[in-house]
Amino acid sequence: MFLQLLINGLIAGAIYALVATGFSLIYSTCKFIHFAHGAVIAFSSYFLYWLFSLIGINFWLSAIMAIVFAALLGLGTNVLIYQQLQKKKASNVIILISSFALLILLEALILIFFGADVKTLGFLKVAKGLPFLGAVITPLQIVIILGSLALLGLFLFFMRKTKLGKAMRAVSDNKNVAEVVGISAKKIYNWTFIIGSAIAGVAAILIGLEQNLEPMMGTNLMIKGFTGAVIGGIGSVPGAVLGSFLLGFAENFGIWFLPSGYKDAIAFVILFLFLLLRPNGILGIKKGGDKK
Amino acid sequence: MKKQTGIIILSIILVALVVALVIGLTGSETGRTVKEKQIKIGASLPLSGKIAYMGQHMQEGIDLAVSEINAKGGINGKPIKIVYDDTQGTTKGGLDSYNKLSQIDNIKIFLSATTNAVMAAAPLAEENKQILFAIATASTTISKAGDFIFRNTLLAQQEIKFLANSLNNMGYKKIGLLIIGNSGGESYRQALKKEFETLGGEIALTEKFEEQSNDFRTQLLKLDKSDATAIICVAHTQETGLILRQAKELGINKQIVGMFATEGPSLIEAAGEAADGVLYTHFFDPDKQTQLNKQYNQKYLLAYGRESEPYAALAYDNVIILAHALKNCDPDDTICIKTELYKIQNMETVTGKTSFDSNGDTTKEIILKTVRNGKFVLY
Amino acid sequence: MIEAYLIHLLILIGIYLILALSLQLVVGYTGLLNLGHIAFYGVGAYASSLLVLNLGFPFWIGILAGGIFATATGFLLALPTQKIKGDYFALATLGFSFVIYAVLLNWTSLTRGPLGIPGIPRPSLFGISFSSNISFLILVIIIVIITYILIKRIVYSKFGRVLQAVRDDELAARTLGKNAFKMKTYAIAISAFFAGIAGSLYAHYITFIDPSSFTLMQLIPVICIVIIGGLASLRGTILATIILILLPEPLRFIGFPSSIVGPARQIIYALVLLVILIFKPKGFYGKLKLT
Repeated sequence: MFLQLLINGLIAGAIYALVATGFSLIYSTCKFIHFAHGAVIAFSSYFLYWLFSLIGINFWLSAIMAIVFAALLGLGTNVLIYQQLQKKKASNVIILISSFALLILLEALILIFFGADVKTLGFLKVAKGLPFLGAVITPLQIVIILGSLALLGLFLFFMRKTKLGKAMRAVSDNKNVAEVVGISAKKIYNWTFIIGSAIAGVAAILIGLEQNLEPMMGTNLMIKGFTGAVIGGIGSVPGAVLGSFLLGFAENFGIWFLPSGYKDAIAFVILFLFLLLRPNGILGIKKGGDKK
Repeated sequence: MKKQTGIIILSIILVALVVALVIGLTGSETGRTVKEKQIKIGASLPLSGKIAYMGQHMQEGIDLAVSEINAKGGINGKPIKIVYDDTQGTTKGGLDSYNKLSQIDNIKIFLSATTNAVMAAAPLAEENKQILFAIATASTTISKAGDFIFRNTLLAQQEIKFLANSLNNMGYKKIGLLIIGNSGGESYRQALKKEFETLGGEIALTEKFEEQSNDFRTQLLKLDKSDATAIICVAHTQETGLILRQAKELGINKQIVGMFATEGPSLIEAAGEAADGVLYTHFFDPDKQTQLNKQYNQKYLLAYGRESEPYAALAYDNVIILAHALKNCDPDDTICIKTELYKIQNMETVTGKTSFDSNGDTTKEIILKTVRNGKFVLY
Repeated sequence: MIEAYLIHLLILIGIYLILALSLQLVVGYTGLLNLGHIAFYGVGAYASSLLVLNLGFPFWIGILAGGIFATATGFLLALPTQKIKGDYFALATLGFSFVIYAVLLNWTSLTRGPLGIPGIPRPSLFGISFSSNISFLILVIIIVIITYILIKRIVYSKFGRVLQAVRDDELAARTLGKNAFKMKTYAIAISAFFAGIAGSLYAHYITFIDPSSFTLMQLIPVICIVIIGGLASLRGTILATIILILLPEPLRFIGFPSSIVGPARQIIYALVLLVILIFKPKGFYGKLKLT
């Protein structure tokens, strides 16, 4: 029982973590909220559906193309919208509203291109999960959980050991100083979107397989991912992952003990109590993001 | 001050634009002569937002019915024209939509869906003696919403009474419920509690989920561990599909039961092989297919490239039923239309034999079905 | 008949204006991103409806009660979150809105849960019935004017200046002896009062309320209005309310093919919104940045 609950929490948490990772990376480097991240995930899932289920291209090839597509779509939102706004010295909240508008726009496009019905990728058969110490988990769910952790590991390695990663950290810490030493913030922003959105692409594949596709999936995922990211400390990617898992646990354990009609409320109360105890987030002080 | 003048000019232009468009378009469309040449029916549907698939299916059913009727010359020689508006599935959207259709397009006959949108419009439609004919809305509040308010669906109370009897006869005495947390779900839950307890059964556990959930695992786990011998799901088609799939993945063996929304290609799409074995109530008997039914299904497949879904069939029927009532009436005479609608008994429609009761709700025949090898068949 | 539709739009503009001005007080002038503001709107709507419909109280008691219950809810939100900062505050308030929504949804013996409350009567004050839309509009206009005057007074008062000090630099304000926590609490409570009034007006106009009208999704247009109008600008709020409410209307008249009517309108709306943002990257009357 407890183990199955734990697994349920891990699955939900891992899905939110997949969303929160890319989102949090973009926030920590570029310092604005990119709500349309959810729509990038949704659109990429549908792109995968188009390639694999409609056209019939090999799944693995389609998956790689979906990741590339996600990266390009994310980059596109930055270049076409956010950069234009930043050139005009738009305030961060205006950029936030623009990301809402983008979210609406992209989801409406999905609705037009693909219709409102749910779509399945149809790559995996529906079958009873594998038994594991009295609980059950499917291979895909194992991949999702391990995948979200692996992504985190990769990310940490990337940020510490690669030149681009270090440049991104520099810009995240202090954009002006970074530019003084010759790092082009504009280029770094673009790279951040590429990488963050590529992560979204991975999320799109896994989530699409696990939960099926519907036009508004982006909005729902974004709300959860955003919550997870903030819980863990919005400037921190590891925090975002941790926060997402906490949200997953809070939801599932919450409704195990309390009536399920209150799921969102319970999850928030649990997290809220957590916040009261640690008002700077789980992973301590946020880095450099609090200037007014 | 340049910034300020710019903004003021912008807002004046926008207001002027709205007024101009409104006047311009209403001037041309609702002029007396044009109005008499066609029968305008308004359709306030959730065409975007989280329940967009419902609106889309209904729009497809409506368009199919209208094109058929118009191809045969319309009603008394006048073609039907549907004016669509998007409610986005919200209460305010329903009111906005009603107001626009009623006041700008002069619509007197409305098709509408999702309970909240219908309830927002109902008092006004009733006061203005306009026909409001809801499609597939489940809430009990609509029954008493007014004399001019009608609804075409499988009523929760009827469906549950039938289901309770069937399950009781099969020996399921302790039931678990997995219910969507909206007005439809609540209406079903109340009916379920009442009917099962009347028959001496017991609701062992009730679990709920929010609209647009896609993770039912923990609720399913709780239901599995309870005394319930069967789990009844009150959910839309795609949610039911996900529930079936997750139940299978979790290795749950208890009998899962659904409502009429269970039958639709989206179920098989979402659940795959996990759909096999689910029991559900429905109005369409594949063995008793009438000509009407066969033709409808063929035409739908031809027009849209996939099989019909329950909301589409209901919406199609709404139009057919309206057309029947309109045959003997002037399209502006809503009192006549109202009387004609109440007269309808045992009318042959795609969703079975339909009759109106004194509340303006439809009653239909109900049967028990299941899924075998990916096909929807009689149980 | 067109006039009837325009009256409907004006009523909506009025109600949203009250809601937006109250949110502006908290977001623009106090620097608090209160995502739970919609809960005050909902509590006001339900309180007013239940008192008038079930207990037979006259409308003026209903609407005031709506404001008062909402204020109480405001204190409920403000007190525990006093010390929480920035993003976490936003998240805590978001959670609060979920909690209130859950209460409205599940406390069925009081609120009828998801079935909602139908048949809410139109207001009647001092023997005059406001059931026609025109009379309701006049009522709304009066209340909007009162709201605007009150909020403007608050904003330009000493209290208002302290709020802005707290917004700009809470630490400094506290150093100067201002009890920042108390100020923030009052700001939220006051904003809640007006939101409750707006909620009551909404309930008695639309005559049917259910919990689905009071979620985060319903707050997003209001947040957009507050930000696009320009933070800490009352004039901007008025302008933004008018423009954002009217914006989707011309789209209803474009005859899109029925299969894409819904999303096509959304796309144009989103595009126009983006254009507005690109032309007015600081909002209409925006002066400040809020992180």
